[in-house]
Amino acid sequence: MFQLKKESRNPEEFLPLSPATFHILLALADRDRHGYHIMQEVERHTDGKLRLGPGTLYGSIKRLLADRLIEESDERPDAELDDERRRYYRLTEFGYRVAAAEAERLQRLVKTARAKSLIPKVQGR
Amino acid sequence: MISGYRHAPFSQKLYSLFLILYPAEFRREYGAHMAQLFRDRWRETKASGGASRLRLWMYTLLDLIQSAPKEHLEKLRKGDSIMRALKTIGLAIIIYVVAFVVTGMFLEKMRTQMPFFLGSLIDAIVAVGILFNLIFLILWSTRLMPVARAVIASGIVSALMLGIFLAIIGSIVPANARPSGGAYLSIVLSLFVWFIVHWTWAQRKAQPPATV
Repeated sequence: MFQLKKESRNPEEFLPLSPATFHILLALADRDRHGYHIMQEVERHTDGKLRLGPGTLYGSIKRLLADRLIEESDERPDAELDDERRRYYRLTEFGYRVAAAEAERLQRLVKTARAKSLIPKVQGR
Repeated sequence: MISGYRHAPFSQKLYSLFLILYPAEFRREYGAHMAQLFRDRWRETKASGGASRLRLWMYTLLDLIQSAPKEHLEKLRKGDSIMRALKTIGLAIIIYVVAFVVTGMFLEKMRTQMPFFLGSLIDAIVAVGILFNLIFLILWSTRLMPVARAVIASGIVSALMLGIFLAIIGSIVPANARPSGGAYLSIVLSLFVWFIVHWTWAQRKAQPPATV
């Protein structure tokens, strides 16, 4: 009988993620995207401060695929507008856990920075 | 080949050429997609004019300089298993040479006390063994083929190499100095012995572990 293989790896082993890797995972957190969409989404998230070139983007994608944090997706979200040569990627369940663990790590870091008055405290807390 | 290459603007053709800086494997897998990405970005800059195209090229070249060496380094790191195999082969060659010299010296001393054929047979087993094992080690440790096929290939290559070697010896050495019939027979027997030893080992290795 077909059985899903239980993921035995610990997401913490992959932390800290490089900025490019984390932003790619973030871009894929809400929907499947192809390379150009990922790049646009990363630029939008970072107000244009992080620009992923083709080499950095596909190098990161290659490593994320090898680590099984993302996978190729057969679904074509924009089937009518789409170029069929494009490859779509999506987060795996483990990739989602790694991205969440990195977000928590950054949250703890921000908390520490706030406690040391490096950044202003949030009003009402 | 990247589709539409012939009609692409010069910048896109140039970027496709720059892709040669990446390892071939990476280029095969992602080259077309990287060129497509550059094409998409190029179209984006169409409305903004020359300055944004210049900026795009600047970012692209920076990306090329950063990512191409990274991919090559990663490829080299992955090549560790090949380096380990080469070290094993190097070590094996040294051991074989030492074993050959020591056995040769020992046999030279003992030769007078041995029956004629036995001396030739031991010589052949050592010499053929060095050749056969070395070829097998290269084929097996570099995982070029499955173990059973590596044994067969080692046998064929060893037989061919010995055949060529003996043919050359036979043509350049005077008739009275050529290897005797006993020496030829010893070589054939040795090939057979080494083949059987490796084949038996390969068959055992291929068997699944017994279930209790």
